[in-house]
Amino acid sequence: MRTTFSILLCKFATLICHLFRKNGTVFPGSLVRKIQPHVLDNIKYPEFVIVVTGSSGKGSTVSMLAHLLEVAGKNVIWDPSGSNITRATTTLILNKTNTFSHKLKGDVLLLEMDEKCITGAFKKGIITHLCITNITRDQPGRNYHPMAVLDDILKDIDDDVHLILNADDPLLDRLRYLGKEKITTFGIAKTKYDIKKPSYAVDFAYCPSCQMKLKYDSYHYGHLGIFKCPRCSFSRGQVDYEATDVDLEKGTFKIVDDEIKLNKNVFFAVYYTLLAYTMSKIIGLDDKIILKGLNEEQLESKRLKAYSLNGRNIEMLESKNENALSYIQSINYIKNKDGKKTVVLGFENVSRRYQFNDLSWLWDIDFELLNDESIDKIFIIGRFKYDIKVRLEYADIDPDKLMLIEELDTLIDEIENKSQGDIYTMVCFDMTEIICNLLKEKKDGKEN
Amino acid sequence: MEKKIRIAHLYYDLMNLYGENGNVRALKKFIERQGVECEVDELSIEDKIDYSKYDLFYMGAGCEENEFIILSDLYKYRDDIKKAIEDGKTFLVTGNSLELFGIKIKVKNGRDVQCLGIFDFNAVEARSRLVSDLFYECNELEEGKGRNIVAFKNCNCNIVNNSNKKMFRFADNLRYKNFFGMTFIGPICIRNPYFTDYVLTSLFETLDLEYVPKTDTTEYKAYHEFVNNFIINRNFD
Repeated sequence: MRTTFSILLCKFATLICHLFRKNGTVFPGSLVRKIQPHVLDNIKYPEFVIVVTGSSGKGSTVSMLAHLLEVAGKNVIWDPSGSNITRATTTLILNKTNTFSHKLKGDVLLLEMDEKCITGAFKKGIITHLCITNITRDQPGRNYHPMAVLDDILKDIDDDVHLILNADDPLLDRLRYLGKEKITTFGIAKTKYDIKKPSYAVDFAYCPSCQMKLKYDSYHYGHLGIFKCPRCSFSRGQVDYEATDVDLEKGTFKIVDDEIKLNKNVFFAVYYTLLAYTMSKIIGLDDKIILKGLNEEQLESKRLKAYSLNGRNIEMLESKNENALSYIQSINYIKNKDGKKTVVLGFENVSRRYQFNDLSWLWDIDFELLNDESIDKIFIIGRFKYDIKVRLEYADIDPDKLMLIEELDTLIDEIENKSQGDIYTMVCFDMTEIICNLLKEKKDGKEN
Repeated sequence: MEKKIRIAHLYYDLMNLYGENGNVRALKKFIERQGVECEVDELSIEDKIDYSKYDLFYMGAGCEENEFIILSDLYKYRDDIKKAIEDGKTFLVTGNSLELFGIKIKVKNGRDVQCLGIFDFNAVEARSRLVSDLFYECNELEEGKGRNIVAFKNCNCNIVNNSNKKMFRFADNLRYKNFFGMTFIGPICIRNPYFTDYVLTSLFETLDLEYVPKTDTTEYKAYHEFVNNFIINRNFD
């Protein structure tokens, strides 16, 4: 009876949110959990309850997997908006549950979950498959460090859950030695884009059992790569599903003999496509259907926000603060583009979640990669502009290339008059919106 | 013969959780701005560390697992480290690595982890993690010239029973001869250039060299901008 009331309340609250033109993904779940904190334990779930978590790539994996499942004709319950906290998960599930039978109406429940939110969301035994993309340095003020994140993820996971792990991540590889029965691994074989020795700090550099320094054959990025302990058996070793022949120029890779097309020509797209493939195989989708979903009826990629300024293309790469790898991926993307480039860098707030001003993560980003002839100018904006300028000076970038913008209103004119080439903004979410507005004002001004 | 300053970045690959490479890079750059050559050796548990060879030792923060990995390596050098400190060599120790120089770490499960015992204090694991921006005043720096220290804390231990001389009025730091220890994390030498000058002035004195701060660089501008924005004007929107 109580659960029936909670489901009704959730549906009603969602309706009210929509009437007031709010998206209503978090509030209804939040309201219900105040009344019935463990409401999700009373729902009748479908055969597959798949959770995707990790420091990055969760949303892209869920979108790709949902697409493959839908191509296979499955009724998938998932949230395309990407809300990944417990309250949003509660809203999603209750709104798709029959009010009286408490049965979730779908074949597969597919959830993107924040790595701190799995604990406490469900009782043990509900999640059937847990996919972990990677665990890297991310929001240290909230997450402390990657080891602490893994501890949080594992707290409430029971022995029956099927773990799908990124074997290229030495932290996740530790789980292979815990004696859990159902584990499937995925990974990327050595690629032509790999690096021999990163210039940034590498986590989990040592073997957890014998404390010898791990030997890497190559690094994909961060601490992800092909590694082994020189003394004991701890290693990436054989993986169940391995991507080979990665070719970002062509936008393809191979799994065994099948060529797979990427929906975005970036390295991390190989990971989310591979994980979606792996998960589809685990739950028994037909090979032909999977390949059809990947190669024929391709999922449209979330396009990077694209604008132009006097015939110069502007690509807006959103980089996640407090996550060095997010910035490194943006830098690599820019570096691999042809022609002269102008870069915009900066943020107004370190975090959207809290007011801490820890800038340590700036020193884990390999800004040295921007020390490149193709970079014409780097415009530095936002409240932390001097801190960013210091970091770029330490990367030995030519001081004449560093353009400090004191007044944001002048940014577009400064770019227009003092730089060349396509423009790449590598900023956090808050600043993307500000730059979009500045571009719009500029365009409106010209039209008037 | 011109003096070359040698820095040992201790356990660079294990105690590097919060951009600590920035501290070593700042120390090197500030030394070079004085026209003095500087060499940094990155050292870890696979190396044999000669404590007589270096002028300045730096060690940063790491996760608990790494902290305990290096502790067993540090034990091997306990006497060498003690001698280097007593001889007036400069040590800059930040984050949870300071805990390792005390007597013991009392962890939540009741277990005591014996540390180097060089300084008289203990570390006690807190009930919950301590995470905060910190704006300490450094007694030995002037108002307007770096007295406000911009720092960040993210740890799970409190330093207690610390009877040593302190640079700031809280318990989580100490200064003994040329040993500068504090539990702040991250690139504090970058964010607090006046404090870096303070540490290096003392290092240069030990080497009979003159140190003249070069305050017209971007580090100082960034420091004042941050202090104005976040300490003086409390601009937290």
